[in-house]
Amino acid sequence: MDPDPPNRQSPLDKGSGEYRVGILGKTAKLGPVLLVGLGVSYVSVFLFIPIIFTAVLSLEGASYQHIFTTELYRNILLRSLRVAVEVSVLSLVLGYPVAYYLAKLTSMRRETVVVLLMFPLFVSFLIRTYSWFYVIGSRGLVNYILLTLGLIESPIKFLFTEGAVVLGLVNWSLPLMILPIYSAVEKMDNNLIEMSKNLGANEISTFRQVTFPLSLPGVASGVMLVFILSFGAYITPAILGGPEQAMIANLISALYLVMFDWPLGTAMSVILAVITLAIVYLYNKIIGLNRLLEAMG
Amino acid sequence: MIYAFILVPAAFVILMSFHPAVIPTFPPPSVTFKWYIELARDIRLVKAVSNSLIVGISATILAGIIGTMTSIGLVRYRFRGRETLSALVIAPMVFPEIILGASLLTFMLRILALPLSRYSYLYMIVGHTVFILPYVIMNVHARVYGLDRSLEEAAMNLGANPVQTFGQVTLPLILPSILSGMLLAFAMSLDDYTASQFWVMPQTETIPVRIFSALRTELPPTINALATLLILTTLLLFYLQVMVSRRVSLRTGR
Repeated sequence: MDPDPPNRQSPLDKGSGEYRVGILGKTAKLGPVLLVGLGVSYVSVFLFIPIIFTAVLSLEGASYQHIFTTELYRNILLRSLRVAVEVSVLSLVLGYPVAYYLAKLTSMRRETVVVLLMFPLFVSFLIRTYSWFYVIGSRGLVNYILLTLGLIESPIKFLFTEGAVVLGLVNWSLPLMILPIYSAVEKMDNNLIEMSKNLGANEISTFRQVTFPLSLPGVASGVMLVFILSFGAYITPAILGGPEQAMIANLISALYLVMFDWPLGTAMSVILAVITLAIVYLYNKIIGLNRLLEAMG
Repeated sequence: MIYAFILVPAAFVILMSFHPAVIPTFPPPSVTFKWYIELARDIRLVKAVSNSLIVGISATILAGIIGTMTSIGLVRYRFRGRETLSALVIAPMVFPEIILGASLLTFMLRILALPLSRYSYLYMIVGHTVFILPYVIMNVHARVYGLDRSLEEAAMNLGANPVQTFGQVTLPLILPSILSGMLLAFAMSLDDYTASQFWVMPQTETIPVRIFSALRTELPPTINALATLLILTTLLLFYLQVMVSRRVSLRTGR
């Protein structure tokens, strides 16, 4: 996850890289096992094992076949993919300039920017989502303005459409997209840009051939995060979308909690999990998850 | 710019919580505080608040302890598979919560045979801890990584044993980060619906669960009042978190 911390060789260093300075002065093997073991086993027991168990359980029925042959379920899968792609593209297009601009701003220190971006995350997402009712609802701000200006006769239906869901998700995704890109651009070596200009390239060329390619890891991080979270989103489609806009997560919830069809529910969960893992795996292969950690913190 | 886009809708909820009529229209004709008073009388809502606190605080403390230990272990020691394990622990953040909710339910109900009706709080606390853990880890990890070892070495040289060193040198130094992470974790727990919906019972309803079900049926203005209070609380948490982080920077001059 990172090369060793930037500390010079300590006299306590046993040469193999194992430190004796630590919480447990015993053999360095015991220390990490206990510490890390705790965290890992906790997550394992309560996240991974249940998922594996669920996957195994899902094989009980002939659910998968059913899923792919039923039009309703297929539609939901496709819709989820479509929405996720739309959200990713939109937040990339909207977020990249913001990230770039922020990174070039010399007056702001890195921490301030991170804080600024983290701020919306603190405010309840549920509330942020349903407050859109008051903006795009039939009695909300937008319609009010349009009606008063005389541009329309009766309220336009913005709510409970796929557009509303995309809007809500982009709203959520923007900070997630901006942060990694900002990180990537900010960390870039300015010398490279200088050199490019010295060699005669103008602003646009410099951007196209130097800045943008170097920012791609950040872009990839952002896109991966946004895609995964949009694909598996529950709250936004549940609140801002109608039955027509149901996505995978909504389906899973309904199967479990309303229809009590656990075999089918578990199968759908597995499909979602597999797709998510596939993307994460791909990302890890190409970029590496360590990058994500750096970008975020 | 984009910022406004993200926050403006939330501002509306706050606005509407002061609206007198039952069904809000825009613009509001007048301002009233009566919904806040109604709020205090609504037993179900009060219960939701207390549940959120019970679950949130428990999960946060648990996550704080586990997260700190895990973080330290991951930074300080080199061992095979370290990268994989650190990815593993961060995983809950990228994973769709719905899967967490559904599979934990399946697992605990079928394998561990813990009936939901009696163990709902357990489900909630255990589950919340899983997805808030990464937030603690990320905060602490950054801090431990950049910590100056010479302070600890100095303590050891002066005769302190590892436990003392940790308690009197290391811990105070990383405490702000732990707290910072815990504040963020608490905020996340407070807001969770997607996963919580699988683990709640009517008695263990938390704030988001209550809000969500209200959205399904009607939208009583008391919910807006509750929402506003929640926003204010999280703003307070945010402010605290920033203050704590500042202290970290000042202390180390980074």
